[in-house]
Amino acid sequence: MQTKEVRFENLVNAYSSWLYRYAYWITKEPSAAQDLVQETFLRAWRFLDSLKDEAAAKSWLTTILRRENARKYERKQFEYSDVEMDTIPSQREEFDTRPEILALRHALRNLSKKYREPLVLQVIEGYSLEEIAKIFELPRNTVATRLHRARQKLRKHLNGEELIVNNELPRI
Amino acid sequence: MNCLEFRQLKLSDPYIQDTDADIHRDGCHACQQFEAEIEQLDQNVSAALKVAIPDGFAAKILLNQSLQDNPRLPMRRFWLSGMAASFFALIIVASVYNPNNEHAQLSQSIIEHMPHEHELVLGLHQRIDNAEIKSVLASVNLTTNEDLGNVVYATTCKLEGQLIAHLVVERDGQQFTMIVAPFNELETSETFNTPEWRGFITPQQRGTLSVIAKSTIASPEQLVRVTNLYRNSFLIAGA
Repeated sequence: MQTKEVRFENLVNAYSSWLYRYAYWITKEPSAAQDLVQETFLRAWRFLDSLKDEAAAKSWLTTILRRENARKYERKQFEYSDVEMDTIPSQREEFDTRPEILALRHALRNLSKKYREPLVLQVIEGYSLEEIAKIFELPRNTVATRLHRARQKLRKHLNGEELIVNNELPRI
Repeated sequence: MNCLEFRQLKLSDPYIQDTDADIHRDGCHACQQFEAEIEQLDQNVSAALKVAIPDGFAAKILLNQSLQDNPRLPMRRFWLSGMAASFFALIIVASVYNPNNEHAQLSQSIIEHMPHEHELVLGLHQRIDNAEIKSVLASVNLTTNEDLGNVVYATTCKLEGQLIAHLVVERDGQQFTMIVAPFNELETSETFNTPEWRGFITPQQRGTLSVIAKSTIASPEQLVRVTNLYRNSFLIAGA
């Protein structure tokens, strides 16, 4: 039987990097992403006893992170941040600097959050449509449509057919 | 399944296993090309989503959690962020050589002290009894109410001209040195990292507890874990 401390440490070691990546693409701001993951794990520690199945840990943490983001950070203006794609947190890690990848980074930053979030979950971590639907509390078909449109927009953007603009800006 | 349905399916989930889709693709050259294009797009998206993880990020989270659970220690958020963000960063190494920095002076003294006894301690594996440990602690006016685990070495030494308790504990098959110094009143925790030694200094009721290990052996996470285990173990005698 693992102690609570060991369970927690295993979760941190297993999922902190993934959660940071996800948080980064939600907030688009490194320090906000760090704070968000910290808050997520503090909450996870408090409610760790409610996690009965370790296999569900990733989805559980992802859900906590999304709720923490909604609760604390979403009101901030990260969605309209002017931080450029060059402000990647570290220069020590090798990044793909091919033009098409940089163009995609730019497109992803400007892709509407409702399209970007499920795409990040699916591409980085291989979440299924059903898992994403459960985390987002949305019908499976809605998630499928968002992923479909996300890829369509990225394809068109790369082909020069569509300029992706952030359609979450408030309308006048 | 027709081409439109196939493409809608692949745009929403390129990784889906679907027999109807496979049958359609095998008979449709255009959709084979489309599938390859979407797979390439996803590979590029995966590369574009890559983000560097901050140094010591997992250790920072573990430390933050342990401090949240431990109200005896400072809790200011900016301190946490500042300390953890600089976890084992080169700036710490630089600060070790800054003679005006109290942390740096202590770190430097510890780094100079470690080689004196490290070779001697390496071959020791036999657990020392609690009475002997308490006797060493009493020499520096400290005590403990806890079982400190597999302590294989306990003595008093002089550091910066003052008496300290020098303990070595084995955990997970590795040796961690603990220097309990009932002086150096520091307000914040600090880390140091040299090519040979990695250390974590944390304030105590009186003085400091430093946990040190070989950089090549102990990870930052292990050092934080051992520090957390012992950070409340040493008490002022008679208090």
